Amino acid sequence: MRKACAALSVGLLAILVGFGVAAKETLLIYTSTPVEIMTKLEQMFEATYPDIDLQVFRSGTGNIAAKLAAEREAGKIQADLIWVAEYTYLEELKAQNLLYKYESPEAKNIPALLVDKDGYYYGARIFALVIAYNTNFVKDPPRTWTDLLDPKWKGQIVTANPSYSGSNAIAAAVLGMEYGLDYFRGLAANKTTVVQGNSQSVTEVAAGAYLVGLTLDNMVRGLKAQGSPIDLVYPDDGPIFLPSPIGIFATSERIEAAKKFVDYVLSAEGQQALVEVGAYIPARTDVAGPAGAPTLDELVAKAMPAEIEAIVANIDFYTQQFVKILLGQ
Amino acid sequence: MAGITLRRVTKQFGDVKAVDGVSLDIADGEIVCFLGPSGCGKTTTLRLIAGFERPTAGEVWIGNKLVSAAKELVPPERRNLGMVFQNYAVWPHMTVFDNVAYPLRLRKVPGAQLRTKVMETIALVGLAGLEKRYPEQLSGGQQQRVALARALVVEPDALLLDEPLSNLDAKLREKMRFEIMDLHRRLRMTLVYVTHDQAEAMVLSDRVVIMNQGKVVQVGSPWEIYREPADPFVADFIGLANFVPAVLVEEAGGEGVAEADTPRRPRFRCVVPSRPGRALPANGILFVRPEEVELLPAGEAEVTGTVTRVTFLGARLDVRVEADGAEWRVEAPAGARVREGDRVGLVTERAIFFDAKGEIDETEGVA
Amino acid sequence: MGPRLTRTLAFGVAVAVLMALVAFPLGILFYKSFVRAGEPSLGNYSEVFSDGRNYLPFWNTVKLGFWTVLLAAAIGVPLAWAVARTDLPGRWLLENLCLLPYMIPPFIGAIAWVQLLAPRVGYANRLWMSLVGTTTSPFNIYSFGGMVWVMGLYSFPFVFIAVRGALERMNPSLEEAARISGAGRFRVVRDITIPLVLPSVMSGMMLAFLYTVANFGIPALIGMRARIFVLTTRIYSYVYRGDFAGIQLAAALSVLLMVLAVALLVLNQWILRRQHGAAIISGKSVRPTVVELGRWRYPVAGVVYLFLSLAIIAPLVALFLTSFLRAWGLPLAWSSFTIRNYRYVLFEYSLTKTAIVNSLSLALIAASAATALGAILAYISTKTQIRGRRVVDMLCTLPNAIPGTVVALAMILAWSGQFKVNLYNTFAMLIVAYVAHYTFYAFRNISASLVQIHPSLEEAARIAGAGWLQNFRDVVVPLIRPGLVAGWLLVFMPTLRELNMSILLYGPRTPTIGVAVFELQDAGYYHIAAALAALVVAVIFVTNLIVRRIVGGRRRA
Repeated sequence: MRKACAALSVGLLAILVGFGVAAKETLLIYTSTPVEIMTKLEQMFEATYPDIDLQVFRSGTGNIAAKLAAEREAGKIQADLIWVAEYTYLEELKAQNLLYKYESPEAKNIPALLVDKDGYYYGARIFALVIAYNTNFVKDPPRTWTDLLDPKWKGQIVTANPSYSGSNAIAAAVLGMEYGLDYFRGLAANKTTVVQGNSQSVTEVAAGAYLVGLTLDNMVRGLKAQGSPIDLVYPDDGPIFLPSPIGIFATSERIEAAKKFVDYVLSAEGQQALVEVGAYIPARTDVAGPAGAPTLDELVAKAMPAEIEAIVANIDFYTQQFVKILLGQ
Repeated sequence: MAGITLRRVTKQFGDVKAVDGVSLDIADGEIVCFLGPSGCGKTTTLRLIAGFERPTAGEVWIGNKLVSAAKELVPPERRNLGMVFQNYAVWPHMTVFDNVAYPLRLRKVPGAQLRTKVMETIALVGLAGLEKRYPEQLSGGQQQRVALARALVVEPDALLLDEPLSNLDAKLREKMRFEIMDLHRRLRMTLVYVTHDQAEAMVLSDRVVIMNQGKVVQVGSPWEIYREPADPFVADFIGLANFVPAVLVEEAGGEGVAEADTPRRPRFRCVVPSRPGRALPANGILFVRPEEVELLPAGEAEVTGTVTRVTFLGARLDVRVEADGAEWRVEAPAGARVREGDRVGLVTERAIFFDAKGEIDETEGVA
Repeated sequence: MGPRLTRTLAFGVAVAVLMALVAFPLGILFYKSFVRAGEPSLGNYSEVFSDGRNYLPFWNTVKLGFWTVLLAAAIGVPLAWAVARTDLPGRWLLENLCLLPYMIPPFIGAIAWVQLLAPRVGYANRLWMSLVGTTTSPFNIYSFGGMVWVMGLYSFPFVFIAVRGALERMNPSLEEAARISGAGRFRVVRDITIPLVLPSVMSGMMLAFLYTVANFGIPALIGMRARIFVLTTRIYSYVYRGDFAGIQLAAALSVLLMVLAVALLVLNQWILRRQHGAAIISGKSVRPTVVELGRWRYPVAGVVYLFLSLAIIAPLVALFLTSFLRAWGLPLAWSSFTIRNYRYVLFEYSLTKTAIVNSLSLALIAASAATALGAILAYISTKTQIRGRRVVDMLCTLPNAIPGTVVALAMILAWSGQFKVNLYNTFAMLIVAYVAHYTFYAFRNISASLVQIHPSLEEAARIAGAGWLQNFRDVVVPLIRPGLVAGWLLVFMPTLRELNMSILLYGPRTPTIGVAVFELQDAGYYHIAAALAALVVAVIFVTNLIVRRIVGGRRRA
């Protein structure tokens, strides 16, 4: 019996050693980038910078914000970098002096609209909230956000929770300001299912559990390229433009490594990687976008207008109203 | 009430014949004890009568009704029997009253009549006043009385008892024995009793059924079983026995003389009657009860031995004598003057001469 | 060091650790629930009871528990009877199938059932739709019924084990006595068997209830989508709200959950005490009366095995199927299958890689620490006359009885910096919580071994000149080794895939396997979550086989 125990322990130790992480500089990023995409990006980044071990904590912006609040309460922010869709949250962090001001040498190669006017963050991952639909079951997809209120979609709509997903928080604010709370009430009347994040809502539409979804364009393109029966509509009344910003924490003890990652994602190599692994629209004009996707300029031109100050002022209200109306909380 | 008849009943579990061709007639109102070592098949026989086991072959009749055969089985609940189990099997979730009342309730006896009968039976077993208690508030002996009352309350055709007293202490066991006898005297029902305790069987039974390895070895009154055991197994199982290998030296008119098979002469010898229906064997085993051996002063008998141990048993002495390489157990009156080391003569008036086939394990059977 | 000193030191350290791990955090939790803005207040509770978002979860918890135990009893009792009392073919297999859900963590059960019953995508729904030729699906796992169904299937072993034990231990004469009294087969079941096993049924149902109210995985993965919150998920959402008011409400809800759990436990003790107990357990080992099913034998077997295949095997098969899909919801064609998901969770994705290393390390450390702590505490409890040793008993038992969610929240309140020590987001936080929650298993097993050591053995060692420590090491430890090994394994196995506490305590650098599976599923990476979950199931099977060998080997020896 003792022998068996010893064998078990040795086996477990061997597994532990096998997985053992070599001594590298570890960089911790909090991001809402989907895990599969982030993993590939991480591999590509680490191939370029073998002495950096990028660790990823992935969650919705809501959870990340809660975690950061708790960490600040406890006295220490663990992360070095933040990269979420909810650009208003970086505004908030900036106002609290939690971000490190960094002028990336790559800044000159990306459009000005993606650069924070104070130089604290850069929109580095370009996508939009759009209407996705399952091509097996839907031949005539909704063309506008308001089309979703048609009773024929009752019980068939899925979207993510804005208190979890920053993209949807922004979308709630933009749609709320445009169409008012009645729009949310209409979605609720159509028995819209609210799941946690966009990876989930897009998966549900691709699988056919729901027929249409308010979800992210790059995810739809990614699944479609893999052969899933899904496609998207950039609504006529305007997709929600989401230039997900990246920033460095002022508290980071690995500023130099963090800068390397920011430079990497803004570089042509990094943007190319994002196109390949995530089907994002590139932030640079010298990188070709995914097949069938609009360019950054086209997307911005089509997008529903959104003033960042107005969103900052209204995002909490509309997020709460959305949750209250659609989730009864 | 009814008698019970077993006809060549066999019960096989896998390869083992637990009961092997047992035939027996139990008369109405008789007390019959099944006695034998553990694993002899006595409990299985009882369970065959109760209907918990289906016979592999043979038949069981209660009264003039066939209740068990290989193809035919009246379930236990339709046999109108009472049964008392070794571990009482009193239902822990019912009061004494409810335990005893249960068989009557199943028979839909109306309330007032039920109450009277239950209280009567509880009084009969001496538990009056305890009817509201739960079993866990009763002693082992009291629980067994509840079990008895429950078995008796419906006035069954026969009462089956499976080692009912073996979980009780010695004093209580003896008391209960007599109570069961008294009950039987009053109620006069057929009573089948399984035990491994020979004293119990001797006290209670009209007839004792000795079983060994699934077979009935002997059926008889306690007196017969003790005095005229059918073979060395029974002789050894009941009471104390001296066994001496012997040869037949004379035979005449249904009687013979057997002589111990020892090298030294003169040999121990005694008259042996031939047993009904059997010739006296040439070689065999001489069986003598210790109380049948008489101790004489040395020289007054043909065989002399040395007293090796004397044990005082109150009314009697248990004397061990070594003679010609064999150890004899002798029962002497308490007043006999025997001391260890004394030389004594041994004689006997009464012995049985068994055929040598039955093997005796000398270390067992001496209770 | 003198022998008295080492003994005092060992006891002192163990008791101090127990205080720090259990008494202090639970005390703080209790205290915090009655405080607002530094003032004593019932505000948290009045807010709980005045706001539907708070009292509905309480009501839902009770409702979920109620329906779950009914289902658990409806499944567990007949199966226990079939295994213990009938001649159904393959009862060994039957028994092991019934114990299978006991080994699999409920959150993995939830994930497995999602594969079968997700609207339109679940394999069962797809089968139905293709058979009937419709585009609407009959089953929806994301519903109250779905929660009850999955929870019932993963808690019925509590009823099964309790009832099977009672049926097997019950003295067969009790039923035979009723037969001979004139009761038919079914009357005996009604009048004797059922009343006698009822306390065991109730006790098993209580344990299933306790398990249900403490569970986080199933209500989180199935209920939250359907907007049905229970106490554990509501506490989770309050903790992740990230503000202090949320933590305070979570504390109040935790105290409610704790009260509910302790009430159930007390009720269970009361039921067991009321059992007209000892009498039904016969002294010698008995062969229970087996009901011969006769011509019903194969039809009944068919129903039973069909049910178990659908209820226990099918979801696991579905889980494995999904784990090989390139994307969730793809048709089951060869072109859809890949082993990419496994490669991904094992070699590519840093979260799952880290989680595997973390969980193995955590389980090794927590099991060893809990065994060491449990051994000393068990010694205090069984072998000394120290005053207050009953308190030691209670402090070992309580944290295991109260839901992990409550323990985790108590740890957050006590050890995230407000009292000088800050373990928030660290490895140590998880270890502390695991040890607090699971030391009971080590304590109980080692106590049972210790009770069997006659004092004379130790006295002999002391007479021979051994000090307390030497005596403990040379005499006590070798004698209780089986208890130590069993206790260690009983802590190791559940910590390896713990979720209820980890989900509240993990930090960005300390994800665990349970957390990784949960997060993957919760974020919609169903096929990847399925791969990791399938790996966990495989590891559980293998570990169980090893444990059986070890334990079996010990029994043979």
